[in-house]
Amino acid sequence: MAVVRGCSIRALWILNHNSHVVFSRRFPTVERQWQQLCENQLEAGIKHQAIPFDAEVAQAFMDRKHSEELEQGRGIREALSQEGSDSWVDDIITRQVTSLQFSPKGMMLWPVLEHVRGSFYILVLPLVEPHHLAAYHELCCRSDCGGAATNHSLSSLLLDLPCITGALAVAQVLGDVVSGEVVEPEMLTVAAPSMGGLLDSIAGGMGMGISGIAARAKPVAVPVAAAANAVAAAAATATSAITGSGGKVTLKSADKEALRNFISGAMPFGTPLDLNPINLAAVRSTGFSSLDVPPTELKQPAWKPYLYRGKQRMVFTVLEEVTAALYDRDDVEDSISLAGQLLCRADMEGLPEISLQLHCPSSSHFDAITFHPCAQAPEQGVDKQTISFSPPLGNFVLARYTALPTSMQPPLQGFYQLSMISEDEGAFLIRMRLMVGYKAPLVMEQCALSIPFPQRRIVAVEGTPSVGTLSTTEHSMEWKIIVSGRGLASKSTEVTFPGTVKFARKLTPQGNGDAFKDEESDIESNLQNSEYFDVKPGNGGTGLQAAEWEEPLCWEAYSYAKASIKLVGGTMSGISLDPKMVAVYPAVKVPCEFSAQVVSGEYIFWNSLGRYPHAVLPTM
Amino acid sequence: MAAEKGSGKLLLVSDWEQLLQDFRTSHDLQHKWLTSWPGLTIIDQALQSITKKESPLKPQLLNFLEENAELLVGSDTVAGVSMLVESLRNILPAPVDGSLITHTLKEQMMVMVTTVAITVDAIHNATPQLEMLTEILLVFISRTNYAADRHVRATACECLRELELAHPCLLHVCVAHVFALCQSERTHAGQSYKILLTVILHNMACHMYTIKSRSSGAQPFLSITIPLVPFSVPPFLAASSPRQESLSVPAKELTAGSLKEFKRAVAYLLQRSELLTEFGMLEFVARFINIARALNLHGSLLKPQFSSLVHTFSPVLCHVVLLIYSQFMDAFEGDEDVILKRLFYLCRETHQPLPVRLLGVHWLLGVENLQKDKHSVIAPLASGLYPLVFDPLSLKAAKLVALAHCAASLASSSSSSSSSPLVSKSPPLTPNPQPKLKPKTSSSPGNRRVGLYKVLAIGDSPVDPASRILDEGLLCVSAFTWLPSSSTETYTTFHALHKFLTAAIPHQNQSSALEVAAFTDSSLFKTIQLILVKMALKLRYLVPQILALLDRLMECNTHQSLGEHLLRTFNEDLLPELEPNCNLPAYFPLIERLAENVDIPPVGLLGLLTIYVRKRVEEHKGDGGLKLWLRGSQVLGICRTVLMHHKSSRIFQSLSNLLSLMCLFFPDLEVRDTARLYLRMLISVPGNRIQEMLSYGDERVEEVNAPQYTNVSSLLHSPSAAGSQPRQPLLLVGAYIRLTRENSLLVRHSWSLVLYNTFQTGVDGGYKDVGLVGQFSKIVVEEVSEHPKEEIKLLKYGTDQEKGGSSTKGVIVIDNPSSSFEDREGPHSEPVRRVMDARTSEILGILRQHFEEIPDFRNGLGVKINIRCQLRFMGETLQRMRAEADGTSDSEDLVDVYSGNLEAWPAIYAVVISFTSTGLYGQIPSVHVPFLLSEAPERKLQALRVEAAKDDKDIFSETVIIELEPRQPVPTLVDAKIIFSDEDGTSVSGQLDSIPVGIEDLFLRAPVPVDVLPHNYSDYYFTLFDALFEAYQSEGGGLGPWGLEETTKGGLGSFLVLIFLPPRYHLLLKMEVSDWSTLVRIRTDHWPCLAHVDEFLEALIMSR
Repeated sequence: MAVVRGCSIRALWILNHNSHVVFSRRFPTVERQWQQLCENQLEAGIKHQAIPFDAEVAQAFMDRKHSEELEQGRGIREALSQEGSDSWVDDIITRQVTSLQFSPKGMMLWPVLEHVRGSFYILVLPLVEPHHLAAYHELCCRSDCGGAATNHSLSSLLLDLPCITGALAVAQVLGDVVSGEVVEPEMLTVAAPSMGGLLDSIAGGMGMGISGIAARAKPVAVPVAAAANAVAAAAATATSAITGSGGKVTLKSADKEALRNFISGAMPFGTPLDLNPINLAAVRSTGFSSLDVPPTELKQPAWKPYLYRGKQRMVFTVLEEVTAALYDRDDVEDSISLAGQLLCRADMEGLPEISLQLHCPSSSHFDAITFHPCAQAPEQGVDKQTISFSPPLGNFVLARYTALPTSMQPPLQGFYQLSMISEDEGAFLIRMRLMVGYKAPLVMEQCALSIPFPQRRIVAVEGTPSVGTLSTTEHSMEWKIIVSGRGLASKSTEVTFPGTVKFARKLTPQGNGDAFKDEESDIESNLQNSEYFDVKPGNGGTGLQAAEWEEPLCWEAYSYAKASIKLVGGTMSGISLDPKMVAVYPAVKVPCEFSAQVVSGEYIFWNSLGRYPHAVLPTM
Repeated sequence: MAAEKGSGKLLLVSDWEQLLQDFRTSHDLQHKWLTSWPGLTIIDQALQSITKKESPLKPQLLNFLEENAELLVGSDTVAGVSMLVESLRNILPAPVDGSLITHTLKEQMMVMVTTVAITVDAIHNATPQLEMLTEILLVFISRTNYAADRHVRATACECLRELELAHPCLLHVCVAHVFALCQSERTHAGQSYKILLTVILHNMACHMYTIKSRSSGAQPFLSITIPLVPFSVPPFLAASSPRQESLSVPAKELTAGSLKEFKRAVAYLLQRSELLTEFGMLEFVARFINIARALNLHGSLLKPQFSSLVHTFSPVLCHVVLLIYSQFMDAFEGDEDVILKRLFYLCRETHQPLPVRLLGVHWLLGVENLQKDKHSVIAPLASGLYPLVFDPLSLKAAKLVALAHCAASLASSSSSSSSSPLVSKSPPLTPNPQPKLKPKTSSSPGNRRVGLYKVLAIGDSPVDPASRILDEGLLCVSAFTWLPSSSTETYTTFHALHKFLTAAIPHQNQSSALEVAAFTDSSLFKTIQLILVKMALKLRYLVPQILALLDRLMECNTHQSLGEHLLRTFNEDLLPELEPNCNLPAYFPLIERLAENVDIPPVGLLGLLTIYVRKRVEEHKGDGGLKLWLRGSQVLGICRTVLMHHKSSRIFQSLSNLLSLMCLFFPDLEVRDTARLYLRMLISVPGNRIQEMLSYGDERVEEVNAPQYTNVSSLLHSPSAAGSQPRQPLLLVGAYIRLTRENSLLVRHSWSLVLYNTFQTGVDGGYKDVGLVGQFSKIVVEEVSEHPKEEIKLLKYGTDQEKGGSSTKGVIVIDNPSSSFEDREGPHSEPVRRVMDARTSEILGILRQHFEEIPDFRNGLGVKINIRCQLRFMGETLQRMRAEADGTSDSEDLVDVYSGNLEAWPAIYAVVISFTSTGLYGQIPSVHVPFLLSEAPERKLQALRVEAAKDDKDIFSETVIIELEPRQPVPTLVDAKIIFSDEDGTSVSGQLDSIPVGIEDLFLRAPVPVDVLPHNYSDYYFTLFDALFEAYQSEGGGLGPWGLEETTKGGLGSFLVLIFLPPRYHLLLKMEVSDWSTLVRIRTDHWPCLAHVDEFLEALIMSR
């Protein structure tokens, strides 16, 4: 039987947008294990070869990029896909779990986890057994038609190899370190300006080893965008990497220093032990003194190197993100879902055990409540979820959940209609009702609608909204329904905005007389003729770019209004906890705060007169 | 800086920077440094920089030493390692001053020295130094709970763990101490102690206590019996060979006593595992699983402790649970649902990074693969995997793949059981047992469900669970129905369709026909068929994608039959639905595929194309036809495919209809020409030969475009080159072996095709070589280029009458494009004129005598004509072509081969040239040439010419005489096929340039009866001329007067020219020459030759 392995990294590389290696690290003891495995598993047919030099890796990476670009950057097999390449395997995950091929040496490195962060590519190569590599190599070179019928073995490989999951986490943390975005989740708090991260409690904000941490502003007032980011922090990494947050382009020596420090602390021999960069930075910069006495009875968890000393208190925040696809159609059901997280900060001395009861009204159909590794969820009752945990230092996410708020209407309801009355002019009508059925203390602090026209240039917008202000940019209209400051109380309000939007004349390259244009497809039966641009099927003819794989759909092909909303004072799901019911063992009286906020994620009103994307909702 | 310690200069910061960079660049640069700086010196200087100075490069130098230790230490392992261990020993106890000596430095030094010791195999090459290092580390970790250096102790544990990993059982004697230390340590460093203990136990369990034993002898290895230090490397390790250490570990008996010790340790390890970090947990559990398996412990030991980790949001911890699950599935029996549902939700959790959600989908499939009993665990929950609107497209694609798997397993299970419920029976996960959604389907009947069916307006949604998954799952990418076909949605759709098609029939096994049949009978497959057909019908711009899908299946051994099924579906369900309008060309590629398939009768598609062509021709009447050129060529391309892949007898009727239609009415000249060519091939090349052509595959067709046809019509380019795949370059025999006429023809700019297709196997035709079965109409396709056409009646003579009596031949004379086929049924056998008077009877007598002289080809004695040709072999050209075909990379070889063979004088042997013609020239005897030398290469040509001139014979060419027995006096092309052996003895065959036969080749003297004496010949001819002229007078061809300034005989007056055209026709020219013009009257008993005579005369004038 094969030996079960954890996660050890053979080597990692960080490349910049020019595909130059700006940082690399090899782990000789892991490499020695690989050599040993190759020698012991001769039947796998993998010959040990030294890990190539940086320039060779860069070249292999560029070759891969090049060939995958030929295949339009896709991870699935196509006409141009070549046997032996990742896309031959025909699985979309080969975009992240890649291989590097060194053709002159006939050598393949796999699995190379590729993570894009800002303008950096982070490549991490974990140790697998030679027979795993051989299995993947075989997948790349199969002469059959690929796909599902063979994919199972890729699935089985991925299931057998936790090192891939681990290397993915390593790559993501390295991304944080490289981009200087090592942050704890931000708490919502009313007053206390000292409510910073772990380092504030340990080191009082003194200069840190990681430049990103030192440079970070202390979170006092949390801007809505930041809060939204915090909710979707992990999810955003994939997409923000694509859009490019305009971050760093080069690695300065201080950044490299930070990277080296992080790696030597987190995985001294290539085997990750603790990837919490904030803990590591604290250990590295602050160290331990004789005051840091180990607990007398209990054992200190590995994820909590320090014990808190000082004024004790607890803060809980629920951040909820509402995602909605609103159609305003009889035959299509709106889809509204919530993704939430319960943030916690427990400044508690010693190693207390905290237990609390979350109120999760069953009407909101919570599914998949997941927890921080420190937490246990021993009991579930109707509308209730008990959690007990021993808190780590600083701000942390205690629980995450998704929910479908069936009892609660979305905070912004209505429709958006746009109809082209001529080639370059569209009449639109927006009618919205805010906060229907919401009660105090829920307050809408922010509400705006953004209507993008990525393919047209706006010349003029006529019409006045019944409330709020309108601003336009070249390619979008922004309607601020609630101007900042005054929150909208729970009473419902209806707002309207009729008007017309004029676009600059379109420069349409006329079709080149293709054979297929003479008769339109009759598939349009369910679609109206009021698109603000015309999408003609077939190749070319429109400026529509194929959507990125990381995007959910081809945004430019639709006409829609996107809302950005912020509600404070409660949640949509109704999840809550009673601060008085938070129990601490050993018993101690500690002040406890609870706050909640809802922000919008993708909150889309599809043009009621246009095309819309849809999907059958999963049932489970 | 001044030199120190005699080791040369000190390396400055800038030197170091260069060195660090160079060592990352190439072996060459590394060696450059090592030649000027001994490795040990570099180590020494690096250590000084690290420990003694404020150096900005400290961390880099540490990493540098780690990564390049083997290179730097070289063979001086003892010196190198002791230098390093020594400096570590100095640093570790040194007080931390916060600047030069820090805890971090101590940790990093430890890691570096340990790494070097392992990579340079100190255990074998510097055993005492390794012992010293181990001792240092052991002593260091024994100070448990010491406050300040707790993290350094953790690192020391890691170093020891790394040593133990590299050298299994190195620390087995210390296990009791480590166990005690582990229990004692209370700081966060405890994790490292715990994992160190786990690794030591792991190696002991997996490598040492491997002999199962029933004895109860106790091995109390957890009790401390010896002091921790001094430490010595176990002798078995010292004696082992590098990287094979585990093989030398002595096996010990796993007695009841030692098992008890293990269990004690294991029980301890399992305590308080929640104190570990995620990665600590992963490392711990992975090792622990191996221990448990080695000791045969039950998985239920781990399950209660760790299975709750599945509810954490850490993907690493989820994987830890999956690891335990996959190793100890028995322990999870009945609880699989919890894990499965967690994975289902994981794929849906928007807070998880995209790759993690993708991994989640794979884990589900991986878990599915673990099920030994082929019973799908995920299929019942399939609807939980439906992609969400805002799922990234890659996740949608991944989920669709998983759905395809679900559908496939439902489809295969539904064939055995009558129905399987789509929605899960098992209770949903925490915390609410209620259904999660508004019961949408309950209010609306099934046929109002939204899915791909609705978007494609197919009709009622399918009801079987598998098809339903497809229908509903694909809705999320249904924008492919209106987005450009390059959209990611389209890719995703076809990616998914491929999976839905193939998931049921895995590649691993040799798929049985039974399996395929079961799937193709399933409603899932029928649903896919329907979707593809509707897709093709409504979204014709997706035809290329559909084709790509088809091709992909066809190229796969396992799924080829599915592709064939789909093709048949397209033939049966799509073709009849297609309108033969201007949109039809979108389907041409698909039709081409249908045409290629031998099993699919092409009658349907040919019918469709015929209607299409007729419509297009009608629409474009009077139009230049330029626009239609492309369409015509495409249709011809399909015809060609049909011609190549199908038995001509089966396709004859429909294909000849289409081709005739095209060669007659198609507005574009080139298309007409090509259609005519294909028609000729269809009609004239016998069935078995078409099979033969098939075996030559495309080479044969390529050659239609090859040089030999270019003298026919320069317009005749490959009609379907655009559509066909790029092919391997072929060495065309015609390019290096030339068969050319000795005398070139006067008329070479045009040709006529006359096809007398007398396929009757029969008595009178004598065309026994034409082996097509079946009775077909006689088709005459006659075109006399631009010359005015007149209705010319055929004159029938006695011989014709005899022929006519034997069978009825329908003669189709097509002479007017505006009229369609005109069947002139009937033998045209007007009764021979009755002889009325003496003149007539005299003429008749002359004629009878004359015609008796003409040999009858039906008796095998036909009049023969000879065409003299030259055969040349150009060895030089062949070599060049070979070299080019081999590719440019071998350009050096090219020169070698080239020049080498220059001396070798290539030759070809045993050449057999066989000829074929349209059948109007009977069987043409093949020609044998035993040996033919290559033509001289250019360079040597000069010298050789001189030599060759000596014996006045061209040694480089061979005269070949083609003997033809004309059945009709029409020009033609004689195709020549060559087979020969080359220098290597391989048999080469191919097509040569065709040899044109012109009308002038057919100009013969009329035969003279033997009793006519030579000096009476002219009298005889004169009489014959008169008789013939008279006989042809009534219907004489009234060609206009032709100006001939000179005649061959010169002078003024009347000239009579009697030309015998084999087999039995005549051409009579009566020229009345005057000053500036010549009136030529032409009469003939074979009107079709007039066109060629026109051309000939014209060329005659032009050439003057």
